[in-house]
Amino acid sequence: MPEQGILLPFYLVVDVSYSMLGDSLDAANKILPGVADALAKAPILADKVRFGLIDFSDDAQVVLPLSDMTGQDYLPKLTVRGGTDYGAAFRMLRAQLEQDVSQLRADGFKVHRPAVFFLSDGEPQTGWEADFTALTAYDKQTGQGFKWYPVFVPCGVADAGRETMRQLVHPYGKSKLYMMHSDADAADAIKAMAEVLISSVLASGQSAVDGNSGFVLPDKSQLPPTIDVDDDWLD
Amino acid sequence: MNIDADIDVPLKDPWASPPATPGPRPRHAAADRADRDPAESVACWPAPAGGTDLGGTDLGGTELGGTRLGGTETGPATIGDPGRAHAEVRPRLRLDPAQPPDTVADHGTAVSLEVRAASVRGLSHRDSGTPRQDAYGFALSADEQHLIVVVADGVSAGVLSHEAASFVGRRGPREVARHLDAGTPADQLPWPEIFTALAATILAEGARSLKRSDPVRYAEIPPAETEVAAAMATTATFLVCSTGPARGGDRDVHLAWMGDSPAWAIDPQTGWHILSEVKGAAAEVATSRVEALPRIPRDPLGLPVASHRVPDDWTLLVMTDGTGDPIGSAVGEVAERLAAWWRRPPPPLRFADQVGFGRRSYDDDRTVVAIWPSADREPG
Repeated sequence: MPEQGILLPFYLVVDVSYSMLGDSLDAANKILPGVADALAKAPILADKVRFGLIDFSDDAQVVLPLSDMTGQDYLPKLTVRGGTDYGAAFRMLRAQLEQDVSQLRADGFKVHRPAVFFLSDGEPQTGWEADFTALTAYDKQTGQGFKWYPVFVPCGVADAGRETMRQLVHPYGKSKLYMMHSDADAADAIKAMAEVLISSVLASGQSAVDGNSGFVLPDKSQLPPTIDVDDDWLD
Repeated sequence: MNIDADIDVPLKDPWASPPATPGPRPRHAAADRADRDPAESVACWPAPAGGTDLGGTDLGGTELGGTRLGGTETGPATIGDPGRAHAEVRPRLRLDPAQPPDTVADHGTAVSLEVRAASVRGLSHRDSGTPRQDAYGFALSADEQHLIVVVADGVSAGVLSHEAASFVGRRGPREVARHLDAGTPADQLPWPEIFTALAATILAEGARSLKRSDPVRYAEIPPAETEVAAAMATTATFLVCSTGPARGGDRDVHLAWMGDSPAWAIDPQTGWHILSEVKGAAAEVATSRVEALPRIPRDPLGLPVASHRVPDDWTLLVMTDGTGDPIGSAVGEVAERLAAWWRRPPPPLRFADQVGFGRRSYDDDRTVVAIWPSADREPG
């Protein structure tokens, strides 16, 4: 039995294609400080949460490796580059999850299933589906697939297509799709997504403190007006 | 109570598996006393005035803010990285006299046994201003041949679970003593009957508590048993041990439990031995579901019991999972440090401080009752 305690890993994956330039990127760059501020005020939760930031366009990069957010003197900034290749993001995520979870477990932590918030503002290049399957598919009976698949929470703003984003909700029942209202401003919607993310981090951490399992996402009644949630799935 | 981690790991037999992290221990914080050889700490510790230091053990403190007073390290006990919460949580003062105190502790001798007990509110309850839900209790049989110990861990979800734990702490040991006093041998105690009687006590007292808390709602119809069980539930782990004079020999220890509050023994030579069962060790998938009073299994005869004959110089420990979880399967630095601290009885208030040791992410209530052979001779 691990004896280093529980950890809840969260990853934010942000689209930094050129279309994000301007207010959207500014809003995205405020997410990390927002998470750090929220955790600074909640030391009990901060002891259980690790946070990482990955960006992607034509390739994907680890901007902030999975970290204890306290005592971070410097929080990195996102900058735009290139197009929108979801496949690159999913491949990078798979590699990072494999590495991070293995390391934490080897260090004796009891690791909760990671949660990934995936923020995109546009339609991807084609051909990402196989990489998403490699990231998320797991058959418990046979052990085939990726054992440490994340709870994947797509957050779509601006031109992100609802149908594409809906395909990224994984697993059904645990995850939800958050989408910007079509008439909203993209930067405002990103701010709203940041609220969703932070409230999920805090509520999931509190759930762990209370001895419950599970990753918590805000429902419709808790959402800012610029976004909606799509969670009425039929199995 | 613990979380249900989503990643399923087949758990190995704790006695068969090597430590999770072979090689050097991971370092998550500045160097602290966890990195010192416990033996060195014992040797370094200055003998306190008056010779009251029964154990001569390590203070168990780490320096917070580097304070040193009179050459004595100060600050609360920590093991490894204490995390932020341990330093930053400002406990809310308990203002309601009906709620249990933040910390309770006891110490003393029972015939030839030396006992320490402490129940310490966890950081999350201190932070939220909610009550400590753990409790402990003891009794001595009328012939003084047996000491009875119980620890109880109120289930988090129940708003009155601290009351259920408190009932078990107060009534449980007396109930066991009643059977011993009636002539039942310690190895034939009717545990199903004892647990059933305790469940009835909790249901009766709990119904009264609920009625007090909402007299209008329960004016006509008293609270149903299911309502009481939802509002208050608790684990219970009993240990009954002979009080001596087993010096140099063995001691009979009997256990019975409902839920996940473990009992351990520390052999001064070989370390930790589980007396009950390690949480999650039998299950491939960790679960947060806890068996708890007042719900009695349909077949109470199936409730787990155990008997051991243990060498007299072993330390016996009954604890809630607030301490049991960081010990895990007793192969890491927490087990190593606690074994060094508790090989012999520490001074009573130091024991309470040690029970509340800081360790990152462990914020549950902690309760430990520890038993040693009486200190009038060198154990071991």
